Amino acid sequence: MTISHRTRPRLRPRTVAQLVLLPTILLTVIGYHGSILWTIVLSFTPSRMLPVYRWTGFDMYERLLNTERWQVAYQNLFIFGGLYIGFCLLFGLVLAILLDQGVKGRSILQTIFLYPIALSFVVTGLAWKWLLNPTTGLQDFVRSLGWENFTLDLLSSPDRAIYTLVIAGVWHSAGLTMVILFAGLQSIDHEIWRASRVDGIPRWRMYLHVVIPMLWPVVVTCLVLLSMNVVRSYELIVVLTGGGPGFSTDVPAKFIIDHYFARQSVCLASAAETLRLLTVAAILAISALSRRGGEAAT
Amino acid sequence: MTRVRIENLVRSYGTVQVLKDVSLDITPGEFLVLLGPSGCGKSTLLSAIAGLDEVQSGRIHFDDRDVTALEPNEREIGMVFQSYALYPTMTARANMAFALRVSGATKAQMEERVTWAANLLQITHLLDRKPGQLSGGQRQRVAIGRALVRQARLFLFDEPLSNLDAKLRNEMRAEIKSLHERLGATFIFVTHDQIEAMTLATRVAVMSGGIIQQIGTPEDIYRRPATRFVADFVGSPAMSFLDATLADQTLDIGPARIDLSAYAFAKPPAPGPVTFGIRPERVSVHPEVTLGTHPARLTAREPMGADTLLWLDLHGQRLSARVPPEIGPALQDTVHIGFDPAGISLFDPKSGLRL
Ligand SMILES: Nc1ncnc2c1ncn2[C@@H]1O[C@H](COP(=O)(O)OP(=O)(O)O)[C@@H](O)[C@H]1O
Ligand SMILES: [Mg+2]
Repeated sequence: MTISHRTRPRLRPRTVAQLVLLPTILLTVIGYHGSILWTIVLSFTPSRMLPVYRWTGFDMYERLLNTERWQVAYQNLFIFGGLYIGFCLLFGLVLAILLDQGVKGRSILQTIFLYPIALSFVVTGLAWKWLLNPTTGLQDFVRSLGWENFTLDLLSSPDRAIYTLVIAGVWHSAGLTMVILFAGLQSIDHEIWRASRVDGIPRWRMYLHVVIPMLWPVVVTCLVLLSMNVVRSYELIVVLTGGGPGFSTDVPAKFIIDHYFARQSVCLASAAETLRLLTVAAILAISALSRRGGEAAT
Repeated sequence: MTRVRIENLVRSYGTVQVLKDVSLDITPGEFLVLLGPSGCGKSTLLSAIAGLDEVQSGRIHFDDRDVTALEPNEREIGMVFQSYALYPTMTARANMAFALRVSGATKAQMEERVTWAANLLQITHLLDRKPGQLSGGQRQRVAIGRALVRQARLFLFDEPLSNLDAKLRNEMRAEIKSLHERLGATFIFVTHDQIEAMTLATRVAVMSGGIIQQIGTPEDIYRRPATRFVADFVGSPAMSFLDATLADQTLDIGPARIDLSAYAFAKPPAPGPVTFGIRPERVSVHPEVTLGTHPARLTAREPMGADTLLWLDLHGQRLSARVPPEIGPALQDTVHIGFDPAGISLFDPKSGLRL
């Protein structure tokens, strides 16, 4: 009955949409997933400068795990990541709560804290490099004010250089965290706050027991965004410390790029890349689970 | 049981006065309903009583205590909000016990109070659920329970029933009324729904534009509205208003002359133009001429189930009459109407005040 009405076959809207999306899908599948696959394949070969397709099993992984530079880099990922995410969330939350409490000059503060996000990690790294340079930066400035013995050489100490990265990273991203969390705080029904005043609940307890738990899905969003920054943390490190002193501030991203392009060790770089990928997948899985946990809690 | 005395309260947002010199004396144990159209300042007045909003001038006394400067939690009140405002991350039990916990009550005390309130509201089986797992009516009960546990002597409700469907609203209305009887506390209840006001209140305060237009028993408000606004706002179907001219003891609507010897004037009347108000149920409709009736034209019939609303034209002015459903269909286009003297209200056309 319906078929008799149709004079010619027509494409359903869904089919049209699929056709339009096809090139993108192909590009993604071939360019992105294909590359990932290729990388994984290469990590099981002894390729040096050019790909060689000969199976060597897990040799490269064994070598990688025994390389001290990789150990430092991988460990740094967690030191830098943990501190960077932790402090971004902490500062972001404190700033967002202050703004939410109606601190005067809200829009000015918001602009000040938001500015760093507009800068790339390269510019952030350069800015902090100059700031921490003994002869041009803060140290020189403080000395010129009269404290002749003041020293601030965070960048030249292998133990402390990684924390310098954390400071620069937090300076860059805390504003973003603040804005996202602030939007979350603002979306909370103001009658809940009024109810808490009738109940005589102190504000800090409201934040602790009610507001922050309500914000859990927003916090998870921040966590994912910040984690991505950590995994991709390449520019900041290259510009600010160059991975040094020694390898003390190396991270997987820098390790991988160095081995691909500077050291012509495609196999080792591919193995490292595969491990990094697994780490990202693990983080995503954990965050998906905790988001579900957060939803069940509310 | 708290006596609430409000004196000359003024609240403004910028230059806009939302409460204009409001005074109110609420006796202990009363169920006072603040009734008025949306935006007339009911919630603002309630927030001022709760201490949630500061006022620009005026004083609020609970019994002999001046509470104008006190924080809401120092006023010993319980409040139920329109959106319920439950803490979504906590179970119903924790919602109800939160205030007690913060004030340092023991576990046994909290358990006792929560159990008492939950029994009263029949929500014992819901105590371990979070607000997200409760229906609207259940949330409403938990919100009332939260207000109950703190042994307040004054309860404030801001349109608590407006988010419920009609059937549930009737149920909760009855329940709030019986709650008031059992607790004996003073209730102040905000609504824009006149049925709620009429059924719940011991006294109704009708508000409009930040002013209390009239305060009185539901019967007073309905039978003897103090202003034309009150007469118009209260009652459904609404009162009809006709332009008339007052002579000595009589009133003329066009050629129709109405006897006013039974009307209780608020002050000695002056002859001149007045507004004649009559409730639809106080208009009798007859097919034939009888004593004291006036000819009118029947323009429309609206069956409403229990009765029928007739729209009539009396010398060019429109009014309505509420009659038993059997009467409507039998009538011709020309009918004869009579006014029950006890149902007449007269207003000054300029000030709108009752004469
Ligand atoms: N925060 C505010 N800023 C400015 N005007 C407000 C604010 N809150 C309420 N108003 C105004 O006050 C008037 C009374 O509001 P409200 O007390 O909420 O009315 P109701 O509860 O009777 O509907 C309204 O006209 C509203 O526009
Ligand atoms: Mg309101």
